[in-house]
Amino acid sequence: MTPSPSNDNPFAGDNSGIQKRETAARWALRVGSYIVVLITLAIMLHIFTKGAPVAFQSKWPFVNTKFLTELPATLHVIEDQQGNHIETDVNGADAIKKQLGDNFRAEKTISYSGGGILGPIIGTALLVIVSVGVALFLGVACAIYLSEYAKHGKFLEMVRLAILNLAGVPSVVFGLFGLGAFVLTAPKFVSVVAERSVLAIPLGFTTLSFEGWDTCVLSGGFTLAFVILPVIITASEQCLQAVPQGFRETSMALGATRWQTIRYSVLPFATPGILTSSILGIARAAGETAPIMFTAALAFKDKLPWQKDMPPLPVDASIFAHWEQSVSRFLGIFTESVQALPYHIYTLAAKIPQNEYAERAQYGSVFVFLVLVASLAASSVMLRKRLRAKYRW
Amino acid sequence: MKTAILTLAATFAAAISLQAQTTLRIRGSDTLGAKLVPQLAEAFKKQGGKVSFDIAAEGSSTAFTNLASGTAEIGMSSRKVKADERTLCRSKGVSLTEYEVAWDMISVVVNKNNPVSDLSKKQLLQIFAGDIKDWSEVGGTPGPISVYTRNTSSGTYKDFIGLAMKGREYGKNSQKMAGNEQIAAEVGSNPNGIGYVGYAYSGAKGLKVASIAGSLPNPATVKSYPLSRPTFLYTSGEPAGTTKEFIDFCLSPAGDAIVSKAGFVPLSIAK
Amino acid sequence: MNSSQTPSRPPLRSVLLRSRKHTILGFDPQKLIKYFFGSNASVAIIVLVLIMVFLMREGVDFLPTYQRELQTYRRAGLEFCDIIDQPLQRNQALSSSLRQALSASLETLSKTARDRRDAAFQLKRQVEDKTARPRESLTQALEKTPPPAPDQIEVLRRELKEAATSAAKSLEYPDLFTAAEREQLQREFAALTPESTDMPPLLQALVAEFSAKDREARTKFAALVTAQEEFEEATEPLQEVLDELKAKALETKEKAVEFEALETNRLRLLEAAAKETDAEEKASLTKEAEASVAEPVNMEERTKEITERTAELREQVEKYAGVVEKAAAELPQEAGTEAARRLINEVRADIPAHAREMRAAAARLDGWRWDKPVSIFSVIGAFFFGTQWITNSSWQDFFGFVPLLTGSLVIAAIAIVIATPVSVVAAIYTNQFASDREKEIIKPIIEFIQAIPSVVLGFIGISLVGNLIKDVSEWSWLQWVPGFPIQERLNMFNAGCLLAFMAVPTMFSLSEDALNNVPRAYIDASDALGATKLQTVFRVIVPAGISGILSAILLGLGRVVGETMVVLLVAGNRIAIPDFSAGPGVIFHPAHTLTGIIAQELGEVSRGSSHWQALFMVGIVLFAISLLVNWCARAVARRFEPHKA
Repeated sequence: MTPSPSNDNPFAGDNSGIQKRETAARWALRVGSYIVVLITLAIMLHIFTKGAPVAFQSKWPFVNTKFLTELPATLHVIEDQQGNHIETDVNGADAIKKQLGDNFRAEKTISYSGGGILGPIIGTALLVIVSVGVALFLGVACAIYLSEYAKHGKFLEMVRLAILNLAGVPSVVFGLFGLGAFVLTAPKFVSVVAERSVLAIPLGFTTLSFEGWDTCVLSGGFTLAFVILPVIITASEQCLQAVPQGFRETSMALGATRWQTIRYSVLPFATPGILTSSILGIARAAGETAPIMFTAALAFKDKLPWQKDMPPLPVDASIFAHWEQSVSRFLGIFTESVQALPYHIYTLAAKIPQNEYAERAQYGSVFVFLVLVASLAASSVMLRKRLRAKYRW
Repeated sequence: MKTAILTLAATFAAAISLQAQTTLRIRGSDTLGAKLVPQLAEAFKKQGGKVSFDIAAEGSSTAFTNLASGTAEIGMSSRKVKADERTLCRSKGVSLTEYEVAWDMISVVVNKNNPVSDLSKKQLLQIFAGDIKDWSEVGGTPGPISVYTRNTSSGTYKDFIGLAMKGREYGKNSQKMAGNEQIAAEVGSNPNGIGYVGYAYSGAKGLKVASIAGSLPNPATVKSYPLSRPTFLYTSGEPAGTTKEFIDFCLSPAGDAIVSKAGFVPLSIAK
Repeated sequence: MNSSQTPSRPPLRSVLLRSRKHTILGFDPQKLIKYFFGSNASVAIIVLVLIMVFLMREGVDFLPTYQRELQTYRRAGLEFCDIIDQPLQRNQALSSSLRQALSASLETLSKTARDRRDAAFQLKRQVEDKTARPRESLTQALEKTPPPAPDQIEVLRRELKEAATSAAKSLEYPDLFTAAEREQLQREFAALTPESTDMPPLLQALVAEFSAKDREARTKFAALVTAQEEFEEATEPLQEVLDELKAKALETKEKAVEFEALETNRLRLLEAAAKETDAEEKASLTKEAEASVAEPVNMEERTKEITERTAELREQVEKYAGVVEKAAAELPQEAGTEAARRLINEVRADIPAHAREMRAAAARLDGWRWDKPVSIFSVIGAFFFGTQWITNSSWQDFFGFVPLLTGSLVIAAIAIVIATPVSVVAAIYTNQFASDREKEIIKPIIEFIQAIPSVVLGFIGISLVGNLIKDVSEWSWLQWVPGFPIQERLNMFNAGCLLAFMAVPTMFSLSEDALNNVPRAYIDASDALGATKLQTVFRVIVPAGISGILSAILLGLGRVVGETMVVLLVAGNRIAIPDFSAGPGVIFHPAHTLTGIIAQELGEVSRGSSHWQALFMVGIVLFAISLLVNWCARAVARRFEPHKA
């Protein structure tokens, strides 16, 4: 850029057309980028202003514990002759009506809008535990192969292509896959083979029958595991690659086997990174709706997964009986269908009226859900940054 | 020693009786399952029924698919079982027992700012079949009609075809909504909208119930209103235990009170 | 495990490395570990294959099932009825136009009267809404037995009166009424009591005024009125015959379906009985099988009863066509408004074609054969090119895939058109112009969007964006935009906007990577030639990164087409090909999508039914689309790759 000769001050700005165009273009680009930022912030702000009052309160303990620790229930709104509205649940309704007597005017009921969202939160947590457990196992093993063992070749290319394609499969197709594979055909041990069983292998004391797990946490968790598998593989591989080659060479030079090298010189340095990036996988798994629609989720359930009607423990039962029951009770958690937060929000969005009572449940759930998912994602980013600072090679 | 054995036996018996009252899985109609049945269930539990409920309401068709595959104890349906569904159940070894629980009136709703408040039966048919496309054809303010219907598995969807449309199909321009409330919300926000909902849902914000051939849905006129229909609960075989108790509760006077509170017409009035 | 001990001296290498050979079942453990990881790596491939396998397993039977259903559709004679019924639908569309023309014409005279009447009723309802509570109390008190004390009722009456008076005062009376009328309305509303069943006098007068005007208008446009009525009634005799035939055909179909279901059941039970070893079980199964019988249906005989009436049907069609053509000739040239005249002219022009179509259809009746087989190719065509997706029908289910595909594609196109410029601009700005501090704001926020679950965005679409778009579309200075003001707040544009928002982070990150990957030397060279920053960016960097940007757009497209929850909640779920004749305003119409239909309907259908299989077919198509998009993105990235310096 040549300064115009007429200008006395060589440091003064250049007023030529080029400069103006340059600034204008720069501003146009800047405005374009900030539009996205602003829209994001606006949506966040909208959810925050409508949802935060539901999840928080001005009094100690500042968190609306009722909303976070109760199961969803029907909200009863009782109106008296003066037009006052009293909110209550099914147990309180009769007492209030009796108290109002003649003053009672009308009662409105709004499904799912009373109580809290503990059931969906627990359900989502269970789904995430199963899915991340499965996906971490498969994903990290796959990443170790890709980063430590694989040589260039047809197989490696196919694996990479498959991972790329898997990442692009629509989530609802995963739902169909989960329905076909886990709900309807996965193998399980049964004493009586169901009619729909594809294949039954008698094992003497029991039968291994391919008849599916029905809609339950396990089916949903496995389906979600494959949804997040590409995320986990890619992230883990990056972490493994980030461990300097020198570590491996040193270890090998000392005579360690390949596995010892991986076990003692690579994994310890990659694990924190793998775990933090897997938090991103958790956020993704918690947020997906379509894959769990047909495999695990339920619109309404009035019990937590472990609150089953089990026979009470015998008074003088041996330790063994106790142990057996605890185990079956624990495993029973994973064979139940559950409410899950994303599906609950779908139900709230599509199946209940839009009025001020329902809105509270809707925005409250959305807010809590978003805070959970966003804090997971943010902590992943933050931890990664700190790790990067710590392990600077 | 003897006492020990006795207590063991007693606890065992108690355990078995406890196990017998596990969960009632109820599947089917959204008309019944979004409002009436959860309230019946809550009341049933309150008056001492020891049972937990597991309710999913996606449409009447799901009642029969679930009963047939044994994944539900009770099916809710806003229409009578179809012949092919009965056949399906029979082929899976399930014979259906039918209980009429309440009467419902399908209310035709328009936006509250819509000047049209009465439709003849023919006009109603033509609007939902897509023959009448503009409000000016039925004496309203000119504007294209937006038709909102339920999703295809809904019993209301099917009943409406039978009651109001003489078996004709819905027009192509109809929008399929997931539940009664969603229809109410859309019609309430669209001045040119028309839809139908169960009577219990017709009081929503921004709605006006249109009279059909001069008759408005009202518990007193349930017999003469052209779009009245019974709603049903189905069980597989003769119900026993908790299932039977629950059904009996639904048909008792206490159940009737809840039915009318939830916006349905109890059998005592409809009969 | 055995350490290898050889009598001779071990080689130096193994001494140095102290390698002790462990084997597990004769395998080298290191190899085993490697194979373990290798097999895990193949999980991705296996899952892809499994997805294909399970989709196929549930979906592949669709074609034969649908073929069988279409066969029944033909054999039972439903197709025969549809030959006439389909073109007859056109009559309804033409009637609708005529009715609109008529009402527009009548309005020229009666509009004010009607508006006055409607406004008055609207006001009355508002008053009633506002006074609902006191009126209800009064009604209850009046109905009570024994009746409460008169003074108590008097109190309630006074309350109602006060409420009504203040409500009537607070109303906004439109300019349609004169000052005197307003006052009278106000008075009448204030006097409304629950007992009075008669309409207030002014309202009665307004109703009478409208009927008088309407009568007047109807005499003025008598020709149009009669033409419209004639036209509408013209179908009746034909429809009557057709309905009879349809009922007959439907009965045949239902019987056939029942027979088929029971017959399959019987065979299944007999098979089970043959396998059963327990004699008692065997007996009960056999007995059950025997119970599951239905009478076979003689399709040929039954369809004959229908085809026998071909001549009668043709005669009716001929008569109908004649009547319609006559009506067309008699359609008046005059109409109240320009729009009405245009509508009438359109109808007049369309009627000959309609009559021709009907006659052609009638001619086709003779060529129809009940036993003509349905070829598998026509079934494939019916699925991939069918324009009707009708399920749970009382007539015939059709699984045509085109309306869903067009819905998906139009929404995806809207999303991409919105998302591309925004994300590419943001990528260019962040990558080339932004200061480090700006980068630290923009990048995390845009990447944060990825963490927002789609169902939350769907909810935002219902509760916020829909109303926002609707409100904006009602602004008067925006009325030039096609499609404004919009009717349905749930529409393709709404869904497209939200999907665009979802696609932005993917497209932004990938585009930015692409810009980052442009070799430094290109930029240095451009700078050295004295190019300005802007020139460097748009003439060097962007063209060099174009392959990456294009593949970013394609991957964004893949994400948009496959997204489920947003379209399920927001797109409006109208299963019809969008009416493209509405011009660009079509984007404000509702639609249904490939993903949405699976999510909405799969939970509700019985396993193994044709509907279930059809939904899995849709899943197969979606899967294929996602693979195709991925492949394209890779191909594009490779094709335009700059030669790395």
